[in-house]
Amino acid sequence: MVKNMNKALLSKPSGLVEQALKVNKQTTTEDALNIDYTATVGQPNCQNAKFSTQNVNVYYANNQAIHDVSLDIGAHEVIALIGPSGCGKSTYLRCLNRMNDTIDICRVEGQILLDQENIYHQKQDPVLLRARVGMVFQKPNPFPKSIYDNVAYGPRIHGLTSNKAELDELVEASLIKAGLFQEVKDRLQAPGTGLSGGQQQRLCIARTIAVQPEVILMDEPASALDPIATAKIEELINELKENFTIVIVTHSMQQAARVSQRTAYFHMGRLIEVGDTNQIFTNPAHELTEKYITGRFG
Amino acid sequence: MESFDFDKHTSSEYNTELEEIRTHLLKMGGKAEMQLRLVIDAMKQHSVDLANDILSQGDDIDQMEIDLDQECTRIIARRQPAASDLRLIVAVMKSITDIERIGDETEKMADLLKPLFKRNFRSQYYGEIDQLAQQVLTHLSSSLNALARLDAELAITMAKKDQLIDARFDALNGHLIKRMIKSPEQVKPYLHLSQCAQSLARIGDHAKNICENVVYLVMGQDVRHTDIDEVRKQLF
Amino acid sequence: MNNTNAIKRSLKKRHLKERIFKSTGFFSIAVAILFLAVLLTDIVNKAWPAFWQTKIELTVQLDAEKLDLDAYSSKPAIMAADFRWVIREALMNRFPDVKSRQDKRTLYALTSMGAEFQLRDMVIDNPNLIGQTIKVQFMADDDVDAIVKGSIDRTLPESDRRVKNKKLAWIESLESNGQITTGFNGSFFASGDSREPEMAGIKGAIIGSLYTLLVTLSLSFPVAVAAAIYLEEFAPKNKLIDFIEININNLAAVPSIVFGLLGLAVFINFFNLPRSAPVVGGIVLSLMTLPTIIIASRSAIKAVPPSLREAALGLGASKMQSVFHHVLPAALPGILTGTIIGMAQALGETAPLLMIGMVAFIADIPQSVVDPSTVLPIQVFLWADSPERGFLEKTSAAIMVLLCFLIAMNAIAIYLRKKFEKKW
Repeated sequence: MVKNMNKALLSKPSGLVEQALKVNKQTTTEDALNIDYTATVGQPNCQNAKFSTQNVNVYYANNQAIHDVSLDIGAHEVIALIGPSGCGKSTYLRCLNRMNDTIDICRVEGQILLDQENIYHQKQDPVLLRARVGMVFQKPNPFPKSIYDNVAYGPRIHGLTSNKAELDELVEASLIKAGLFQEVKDRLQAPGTGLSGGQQQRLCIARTIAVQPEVILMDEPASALDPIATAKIEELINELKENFTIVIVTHSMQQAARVSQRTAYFHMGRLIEVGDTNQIFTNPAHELTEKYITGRFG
Repeated sequence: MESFDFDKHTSSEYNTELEEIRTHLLKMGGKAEMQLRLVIDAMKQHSVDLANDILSQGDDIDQMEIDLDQECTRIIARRQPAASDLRLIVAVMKSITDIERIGDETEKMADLLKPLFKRNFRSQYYGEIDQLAQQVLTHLSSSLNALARLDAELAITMAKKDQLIDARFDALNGHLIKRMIKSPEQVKPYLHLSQCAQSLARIGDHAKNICENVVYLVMGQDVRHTDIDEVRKQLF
Repeated sequence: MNNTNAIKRSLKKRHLKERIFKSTGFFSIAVAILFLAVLLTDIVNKAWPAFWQTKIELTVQLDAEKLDLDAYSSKPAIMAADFRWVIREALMNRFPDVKSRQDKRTLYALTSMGAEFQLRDMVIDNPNLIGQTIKVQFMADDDVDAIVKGSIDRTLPESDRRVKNKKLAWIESLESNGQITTGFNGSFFASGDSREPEMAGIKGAIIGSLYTLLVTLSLSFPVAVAAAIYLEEFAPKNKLIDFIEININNLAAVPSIVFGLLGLAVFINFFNLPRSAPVVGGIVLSLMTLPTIIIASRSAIKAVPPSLREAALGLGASKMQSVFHHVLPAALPGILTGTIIGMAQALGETAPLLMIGMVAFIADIPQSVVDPSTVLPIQVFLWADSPERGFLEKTSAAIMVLLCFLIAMNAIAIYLRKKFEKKW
């Protein structure tokens, strides 16, 4: 009976049945930690991939933080990365715009292709990459400058506008897209740090949008916010997916379920399962995913 | 089986709640099974008293359904269950409707049979109906077993066997109709018997639904309105 | 509920401990304030007379023939003229009964050695004075000054007194005539050092200090900030950088006189830079303040939240842009505070400057960073070393000036910190 159950849970009509069954064979049912999770279950590939990562390994000095992650991120989709703390989801996210470069001991192996081009290729400039792949951080981190200057900073350093009027227009458009314009239009010269937490985070999003990136990475963007501010951010993500590809790391499974089309589950540096969010949250294929999203860790 | 060990949640209260729901569901299923057994006994003994017992106990099942419904709603509101937990809740909410209907069907049968017992109406078809009822009872027990043990394989097997019940009911009903045509003055009692048989067939359908819920709960696949053999091929 | 009682029992003891600690702290602060107050009162008290100067009013005849000058004489001619006898004549006129050579010499010593230069400068400013008879307030000699200010007790027996009876009588005669006046000592702030206490001023030392600090600041600030930024933001993590970091920290603890020796050996003996000059002093002091500013700047840079860097980098700013647009402005208050603390340290430093010859007696006010000069703390040291009584008050006055400078620098530090401080 027990054996059947596992077989039932792990074997899916997804074209990966053999693989899943192979996993099942090596599984000892008694201890979750002994479960073999070297292979990713689900659909890591997708049709119109914006990002395509293959066998990504990340090391911090001698500790391997990410093991052989292969995952495609489709254009104009919202993909949520979930998993317990320290599972490598943030590390993986930060590989996508080479933010890990700032950490000396961090080493990235494998291929990460953005529009078929390896972003870790020597000729690739991380500065250009980060202009194409924007990032929103966990804690709202506006510059200690005015709201206007916060949004205008990116366009200014990249020289995206040729005159003041254009810049004004871009700042306004970005603030409108971030759903903040109505709240701040009378005080664009007020310091950005004077806004509320949720407004600050939307300011950070506006600042990112102003550079007109193709992909926006979000590292737990709502974890420091109250439910109403969170709802606004989630609504914003929903609107932004029209124009941007969004990768969001979140600790809130409900949030992942609400905002994303696809969900990837990371565990101890491995990508355990990727799939349609609807499927992941009703019927995950992998036992670990199941355990995580039903709250059976700990 | 691990995924359905309710004691593995970080929150122990959640474990208890889910465990309770399952226990209550099984209790309710047991109650419905009991009712069907009573119907069979009543038919054997032509007992009006047993029929009355069945009627009086119908409310218990209704009450159980209401209670379970509330518990499920509460868990959805407070725990936002996901994956297997979510499927459990959904399966429970669907299954209790089926079980409640089974209860209703037994009441209906008691209602139909009571006047026949009172008039001491005898017919060779009691035996036939009894055989159908036995088959349905086995079917229901197995379905409830599948539910209790979350045995998808058994559930699929039972779902498949529902066809046999339907076939037997069709045959029996054909005979009864012929009998009614033959002796129009006895249409009423035979019609009652026919309706009884129909109720049994319905119970079989509800048992099948429960099996399908079990498959959904365990496999995460909705197998309603699909060919059972196809499903079996896919899943195993 | 058992807990409550147990907690209550221990609570008394804990509160007592807290009270004892608080009162100890308060007592320490009180002692510190007391010491400071005593020190400041003493210095101000001693320095006060130095800001006042005794003057003797004499009627002088600027006889054109005797001086061999007229209203159209050139400046060199006036410079060459002998004004000493004009003053002597005025003194002789005031006290006609002085006859003996020795008495005359004592009489002439009533006015300062600088009196003749005072008169000469007046004439240079206004040559029309030649041929006139005018009243001039001459700087009094330091002995007269001491008598008038009460530093020398007039009631002492003559044998114990530096100023003898005869001289005292002259002074009292002048006093009763209203010819002795006391005014603000402007020349203290306007002249350089001198062997004569009444003529000694602090201007040379102030200018010397300013030049030295200018050199120190312009060398150490950019170098230290650049070093701090490199070490914090750009340096790779390796053994060499670790070694450099350790040595910077060690450098801050090196006795300052060692820097003086270095300055002497390298800058003066090897590079042949001028001795006693602010440029060398400034270089030596900047070596000394470098580690202070580097350490302060590094900790200020380190205190900038990493989220700010990430925000900039995430927008596609280069490392350099993120540092100069965001990190540096945020770290500026801390860097400036560190710099000013380093500068204050440099301002008060003596030992290394002794080694490079800035301890020399220099009467001229330096005109550039390569002119020989001295600095405030060394001026204090020099005056404290001088035997003349008049230098005692000058020493304290110089200390006061030094303290005022330090307070002003700290005030600037606070102002800058407030101005640049931003919240995030």
